[in-house]
Amino acid sequence: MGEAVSFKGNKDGIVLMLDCSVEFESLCQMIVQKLWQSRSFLGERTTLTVHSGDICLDAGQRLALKVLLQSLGHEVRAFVPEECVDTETSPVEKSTSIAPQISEKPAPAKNVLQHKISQQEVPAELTDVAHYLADGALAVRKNVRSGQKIAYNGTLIVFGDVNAGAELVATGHILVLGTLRGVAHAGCQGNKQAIVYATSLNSLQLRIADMIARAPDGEMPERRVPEMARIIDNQLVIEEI
Amino acid sequence: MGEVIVVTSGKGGVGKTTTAANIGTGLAAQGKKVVLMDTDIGLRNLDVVMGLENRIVYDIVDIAQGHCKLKQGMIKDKRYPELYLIPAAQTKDKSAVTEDQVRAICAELKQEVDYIIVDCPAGIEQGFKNAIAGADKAIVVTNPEVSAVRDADRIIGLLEANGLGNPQLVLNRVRPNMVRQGDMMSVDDILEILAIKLLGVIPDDDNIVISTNRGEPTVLDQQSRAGQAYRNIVKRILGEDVPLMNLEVEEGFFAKLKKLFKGN
Repeated sequence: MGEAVSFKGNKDGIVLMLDCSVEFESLCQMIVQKLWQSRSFLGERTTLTVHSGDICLDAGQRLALKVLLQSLGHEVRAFVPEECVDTETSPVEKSTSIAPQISEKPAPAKNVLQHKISQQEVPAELTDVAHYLADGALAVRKNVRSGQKIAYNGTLIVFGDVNAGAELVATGHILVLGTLRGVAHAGCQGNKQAIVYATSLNSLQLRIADMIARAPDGEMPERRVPEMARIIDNQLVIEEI
Repeated sequence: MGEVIVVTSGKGGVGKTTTAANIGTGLAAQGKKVVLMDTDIGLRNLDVVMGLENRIVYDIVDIAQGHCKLKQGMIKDKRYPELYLIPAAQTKDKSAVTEDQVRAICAELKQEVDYIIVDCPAGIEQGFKNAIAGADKAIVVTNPEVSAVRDADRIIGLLEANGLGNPQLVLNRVRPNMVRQGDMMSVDDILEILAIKLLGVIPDDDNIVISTNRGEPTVLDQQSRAGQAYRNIVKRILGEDVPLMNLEVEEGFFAKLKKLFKGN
C-alpha cells in the first residue's frame, strides 16, 4: 500500500486505514494532513472506524487518536482490531502507567538554549491530563495557559490551545492540535530535524534546536490553517501543510 | 554612575507598568541610556506594553541564576538604541530570585547606564522586597481612590523603613470633571494624606488603552494628554522645573468664546 493514511468505505461507513509501521507521531501528523485535505469529502462530524492493520494500537495511542479526530471535528466509532488485552482497565489508567525516563544529561553551557530543559516539568494542574504514550511521546489534553511550562524529553503533543506566556520545550517534536500562541522550543538539545506543528500557528516566537524565529512586529492576522515549522538549509521555515 | 528608580504602588492595576514603560521610554527619548526591569515574575507585562514580547529569550531569572550574561538578557528596544528591557520570567514565581541577586544586577547595570527603572509587582511580599532591593529612589503610583491611596500610604511607610525615604508621587487616572463635581479626590486631598513630593498628575486617557495594546508607549504620542503628562514627569526627573499641566479637557469654540466675554 502506498499511503500510510487512507480511506475505505464499507457497510458501516468510512474507515480510516492506518499503516502502523510508521512512527506514531508522524502518523498523527499525516492523519491531520489527510483529514484536512479531505475535508470537503468527509464533511463535518463524520464517524470513523480506525483500522490499524495487523497491529493493535495501545490505549495511549487510541486515546491520542480519539482526541485528535475529535479536535478535527470527527468521532471514532471503533478501533479495529479491537483491544487485545486487559479490557477491564480503563484506557486512561493504562496509558499513564508508562512513566518516561528522565535523562539526567548535564546541561552543557555551549548551546545558548540548552539549559532550558535541565529537567522535565509538567505543571501539577496538568498532570491529570498528561498521558505518556507508548512510543515515548507525552500527550496533554488541556489548554496550556500563561505561566505554565511543559518540558519533556521526547515528543510533546498538546490537544488544546497553548496561550501566550506559556512555554513548551521538548527534545523531540512539538505538535499542537489547537492554537499555538506561546513559545514552543522543539529539538531543544540540538535536534535540527525536530518540527513544530500547530493547527493554528500564532506564536510570537518559535525555536528549533538553537535557532529562533520571531513574529514580525505589529499586528498580524490570525493564522487558521495547519502549519509546520522546521529547519531547512539552516533556516527556520514555516509552511502550510 | 546610574540611578535605580523603582515604580511601586501596593495596589494592583493603578498603572505601575504603564508608568514605568512611559518614564523609561521618555528618558530614552531624551537621549539617556535606560534599562527597564520587570520584577513581576509570573505575571510579566512590561514586555507586552513595550511591544517586545516576541524578542524574549532570557529573563531576569536567567540573569540572576547565571544562565546567561547580563548583556544577553537585555532586550534592545525597537525604537531607541539605548533603551533596554530585562523581562520577568513568566513560568516561575517571585521566589525565583533573591534580594541579593536583584541588588547585584542593579549594581552591575549602574555601571553601564544612566537610569534603571524597576517595575514592581503589586503587594508587599517577596516581589516587592526584590524590586526595592537595589533601588536608590522610589516613585509611588496611585489613583484618586480611597483604596489605592491607603495602599500607597502603606507602601510609603515600607519604603521609608527600607531606607527609601522621600519617594515621589505619580497620581494616575485623574478625571478633572469628577474632581470638580466633588466625586473624586483632588490632588490636594491626596497630597494632604500622603505628604510626599508630587512628581506628576496623569489624566485619565483612553489613548492609554490603545497604546498599551499596541505596545507603543503613550509618551511618544504628541497628541495624547497622558503622553504630555509623562513627558513632563520625565523632564522633572531630569531636573527641569515644569509646572503641572492644566488637566481640563480642551474646550469647544463656544466655551472659549464665553470665557472671553466673561473676561477671564
